[in-house]
Amino acid sequence: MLLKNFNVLVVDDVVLMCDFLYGVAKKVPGCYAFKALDGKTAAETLENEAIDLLITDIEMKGPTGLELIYRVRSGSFASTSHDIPIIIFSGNAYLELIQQSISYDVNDFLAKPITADQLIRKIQHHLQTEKQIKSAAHYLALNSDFSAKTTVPDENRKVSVAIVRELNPKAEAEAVDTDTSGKKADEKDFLFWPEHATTGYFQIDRRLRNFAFNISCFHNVFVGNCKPVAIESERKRACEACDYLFHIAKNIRHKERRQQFWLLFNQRLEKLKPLAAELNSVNIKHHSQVLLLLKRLSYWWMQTCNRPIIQKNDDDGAEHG
Amino acid sequence: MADTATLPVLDLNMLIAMYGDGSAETIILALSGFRREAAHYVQQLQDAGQHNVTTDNALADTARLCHSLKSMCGLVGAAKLMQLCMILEQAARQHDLTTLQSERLKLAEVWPELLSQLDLILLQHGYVDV
Repeated sequence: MLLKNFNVLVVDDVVLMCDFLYGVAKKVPGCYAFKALDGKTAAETLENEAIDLLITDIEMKGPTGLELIYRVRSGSFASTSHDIPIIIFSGNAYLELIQQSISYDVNDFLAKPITADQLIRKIQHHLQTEKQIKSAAHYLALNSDFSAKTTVPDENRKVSVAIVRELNPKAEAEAVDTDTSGKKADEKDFLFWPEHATTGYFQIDRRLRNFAFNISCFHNVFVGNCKPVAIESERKRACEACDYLFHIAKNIRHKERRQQFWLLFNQRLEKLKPLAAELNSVNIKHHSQVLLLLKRLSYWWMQTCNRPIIQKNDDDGAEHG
Repeated sequence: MADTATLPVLDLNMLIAMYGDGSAETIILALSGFRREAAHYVQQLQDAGQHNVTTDNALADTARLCHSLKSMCGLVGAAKLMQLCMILEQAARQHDLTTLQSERLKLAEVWPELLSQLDLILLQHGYVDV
């Protein structure tokens, strides 16, 4: 049994197959299913919903399944993390296709036909098993062909503020060289992930960003005096994003050995917990209470992100907690 | 590859195994959906055969249509048509026009046979809109 709600997106251009996959995904306890009959719709769903598992066919019109996978792995979607499990569901297993799928670290390759029971087991397995996925930059560099054809223009991206910067070591070195006056001050503006950060750290990065984005949306609809149903919907999303942050952090903490980092990060998460509980229960009709809560959330945010958790050593550039 | 003639036209056990559910509701939903969608694909394949266009794009389209139809057949247990689609897809991908042309003619035989089986089973399960 899965402990939290997961969003599963199934993509197949054959209506019958898509409905079958959708019906099966819906049956998995703890899963909420989305379906798309083409790559374009799938891309929109990935952009707007925090998808936790993608099941896609390969041979489709528009963005093909492989293009879609490339875009997920290269971090092109605002709401969906690049390291989600991806299952290819295809009737053909051509060598070239499999090789390309492997380079994108696809989690599974299922050959059609597959029974509902087998698929349910696969979904449960991949939602409970973490696979080490490289950084989005790695996949971006892997194949620039697709990006030329399919990238979403920057102005259409919903998240434009990155609170955590993913650093390329070389680029960082160049930046330090050019800035002779105050490099320390610059570096402390961001949280710095270790150079060889595992997927876990990037997950935290994404979840923090998602949380920031959703809180910001909630704030916008609230102060914009939108309809209560819209405010409720944004509040729900923000709460889900916050829950997901706790969930991911808890999972990674169990596998990590960096005590100092987790001690600090955990302290900051503990401070967020009562705020999250209040966000979940606050009456949106009480204007002043909601505004006060939003203010406290923004203080939490500044306290958390303005103080680096990981700093660099002067001598060798290695990080420590 | 198995001989098309020896395969069952429609294997209901396959459908039940795939969906994990043998209720009349599921069977009707799957078969009526298949009937509706597959008819469209078969029509397109037959049209492409009549126009006899052999450009790379046309062959790629044929391969894609056969691929999709094959998947659908596998889901509902339409074994005979699935086998035929497999042959057609392979021929289209390999630009084997002779096989493509001769096998495509079999659609006129396999599809009506499947259609009558579909209608029969749908009626047996209480679906009246056939």
